[in-house]
Amino acid sequence: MSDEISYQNQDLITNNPFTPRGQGSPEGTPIPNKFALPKDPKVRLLIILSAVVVILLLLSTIVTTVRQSTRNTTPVKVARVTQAPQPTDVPNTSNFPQDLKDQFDAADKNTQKQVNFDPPQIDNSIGL
Amino acid sequence: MWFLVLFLLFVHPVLAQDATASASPTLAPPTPTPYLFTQYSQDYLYQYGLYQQAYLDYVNKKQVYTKYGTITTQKDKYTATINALSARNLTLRSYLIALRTLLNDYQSSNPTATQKVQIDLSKWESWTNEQTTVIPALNNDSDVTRWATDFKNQYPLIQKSIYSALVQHEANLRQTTLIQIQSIADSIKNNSKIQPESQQWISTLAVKSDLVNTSINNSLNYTQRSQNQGRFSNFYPDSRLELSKANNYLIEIIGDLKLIVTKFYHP
Repeated sequence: MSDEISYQNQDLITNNPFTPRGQGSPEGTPIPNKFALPKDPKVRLLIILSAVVVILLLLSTIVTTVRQSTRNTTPVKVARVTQAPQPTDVPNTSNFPQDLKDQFDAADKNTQKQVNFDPPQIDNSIGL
Repeated sequence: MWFLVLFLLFVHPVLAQDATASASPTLAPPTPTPYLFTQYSQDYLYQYGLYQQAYLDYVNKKQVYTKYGTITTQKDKYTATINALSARNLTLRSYLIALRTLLNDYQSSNPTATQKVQIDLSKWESWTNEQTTVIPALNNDSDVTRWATDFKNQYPLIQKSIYSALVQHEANLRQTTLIQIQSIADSIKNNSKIQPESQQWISTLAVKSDLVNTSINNSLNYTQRSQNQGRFSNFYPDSRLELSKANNYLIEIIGDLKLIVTKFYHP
């Protein structure tokens, strides 16, 4: 015996056009999930590819940000003048003949000289 | 008669006074020749200080004019611009003079190349000298803009001359040191108290001497790098690296020579 109560008006579940899909239907059609992919294969492919592109964009942004922050902390390499490491047992020239000693002293002095006469830091856009 | 004979016997020739320390004036020691580079570099530093003050004033006046835009602030900005341009020009000129003088120090190791660089610097000195009269004569903002644009285009060429001169100076210094080392090697060869076995060790140093020359030449080659118009391609760091390599080789050669003398010298 059916529990269904039959009515003679449009509130009848089976004839009511305003009832949501699946409700009152004798077959009990399940409510489709609005987040499910559409059935059209082309649309599905488009959505999947768009998602891949978005993910790649996000990843590239993250990687660029990480690289930039690393680059900012790394000091800029500047050409530095460094002397060769001196041997720990540097020969003592005090026992050398005087003329040789003087020559060695003059040569040592020259190797320690550095050119420190940098040009002035000027703004070449004054007046522009 | 007898009086005359006695007179002639006892007379002594009258000698001039010997020069004594108290009698003659003290000879002043010769005035040492002043080291010109020291004087010119001090002048440059003074001009640079004036430029920095004028530049700060220019920046302030420019900001004030940008904020208020009145005729008075515009006039102040214009005056500050002219002062800053003049100060900058004098700074450059004094630096070029000092740098040209510095090149005299070790000129003998490369006289032709050094003279060429000095001529180039002189050309820019003359140019900056002309500008000392041109800048105060600038009448209005458009003249100033035109002149400033011209300077901005010329400045990379001035930078090229400056850095070429600095490289040449250091190359001359390293070359001079190499000549000193060769002189030391010759002295060792000619010293009778140093055993002849030292000669074979000295001859092995020729390889390092070649490396010194190669590094010096490389540093000078960088100065020939072509420059793009309006933008200076800075070769100076590369040249300095090569020159520091040359200096390191020189230090090694000196160390080796000292070891040779230590081993083979018997007083």
